[in-house]
Amino acid sequence: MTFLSSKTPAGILALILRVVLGVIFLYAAWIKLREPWALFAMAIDSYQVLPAWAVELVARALPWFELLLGVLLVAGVWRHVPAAAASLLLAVFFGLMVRAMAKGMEIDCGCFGPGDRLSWVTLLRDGALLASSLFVTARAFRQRDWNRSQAA
Amino acid sequence: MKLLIAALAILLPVLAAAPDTIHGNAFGDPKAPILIEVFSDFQCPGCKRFHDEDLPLIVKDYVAPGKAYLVYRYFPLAMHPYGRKAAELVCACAQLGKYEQAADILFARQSAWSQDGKLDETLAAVLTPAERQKVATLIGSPSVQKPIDSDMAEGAALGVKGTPTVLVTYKSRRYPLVGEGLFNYRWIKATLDDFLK
Repeated sequence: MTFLSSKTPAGILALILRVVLGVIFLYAAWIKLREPWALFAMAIDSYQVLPAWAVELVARALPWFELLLGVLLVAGVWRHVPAAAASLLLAVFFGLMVRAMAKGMEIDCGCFGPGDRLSWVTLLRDGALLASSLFVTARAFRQRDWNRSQAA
Repeated sequence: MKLLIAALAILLPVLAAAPDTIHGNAFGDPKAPILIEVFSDFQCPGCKRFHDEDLPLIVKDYVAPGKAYLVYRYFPLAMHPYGRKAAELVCACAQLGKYEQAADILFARQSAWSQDGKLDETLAAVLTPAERQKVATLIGSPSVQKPIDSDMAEGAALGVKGTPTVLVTYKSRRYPLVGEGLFNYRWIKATLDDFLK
C-alpha cells in the first residue's frame, strides 16, 4: 500500500492541501473574529436562506468552528474528521453561492469578511477549495481504513 | 420621515460645520466617531427601502445623539434613465437647504416619476416658485455637477458596484455594507453598537 504513503506524490499533495486548507480556514476565522459579528450576519442574511435567529447563531458560532477546523487540519489530528467536516462545510458554501449566482443576487460572499463580492472568481475559488478538500478527505479515509486493516 | 426631518432640524447648526465638498447632504457631527456614507440612487427601489426603513432609525439612534456622521453620496446608476437628473435636482435643492424635503418627495413618489420622468413637477410640491427658478439655474452649474461627479468617482474608486451601498468608517477602517442583509436594521445596529462599546 505504498500509494497511501505520504512520501508518494499523491501523499505529498494531500499533505500540502491539508495544511493550505487549514491555513485558509484559520485566516477566514481570524478575519471574521476581528470584526463585529453582525457584519458577518449581514452577509449570511443576504443569502436569504435562514431566519434571523439562525443567522445570528451561525454568525456567532461559525468563525469559531472554522478556527477549530483550521487548527485540526494544520495539526493533522484525527485527519478524516476535520477533512470531512471541511468538505461538508465547503459544499454547503458552494451550493449557497451557486444558488445566489443563479438568482442574480448582488451580495457579498461573506467568505473572508466584508467587501468580498460574490462573483465567478469567488465561485471558482470556493470550487477549488471544495475539490481540494474532497481529495484530502478521500485520502484521509483511505489512510484510516488501511491503518485499521494493518492493525487487524 | 417626520422623525428624520425632526432630527435633522435639531442638527441644523451642526450642518454648517460640514466640509466644503458637502452641500447640505451631510448630517450630524463631523467629529462623531463613526462615519456613515450612503451611496444611493433616487430611482433605485432598494434605496427607497433603505431611505424609508433604515435611515430614520440610523438618524434617531446614532446621528442625532452625535455618535455618527451621515453623508449622502450621489451615485446614480446608468441603468436608471432618470437617476442622474434626480441626483442633480436634489443636489441643487440641497444647496438651498432643502435636501431632505427633496429626497423625501422623490423617494415617496418614485414609482410615478420613474414611469413618466416628471421630476420637476414632483419637486414642485416642496419648492416655492422662486426656489424652482434657483434650482433650474443651479442644475447645470459646477456646484451641482461637481459633487455628483466627485461622489461617483469616489464610489467607483472604492469598488461600489450597486446601490444602496453603505460604507461605515470607524477608526480609519471602512466597512462596506451591501445586499439584503442591509435591510435588516438589527445587523446595522449590532455593528454600530459593537464599534461604540
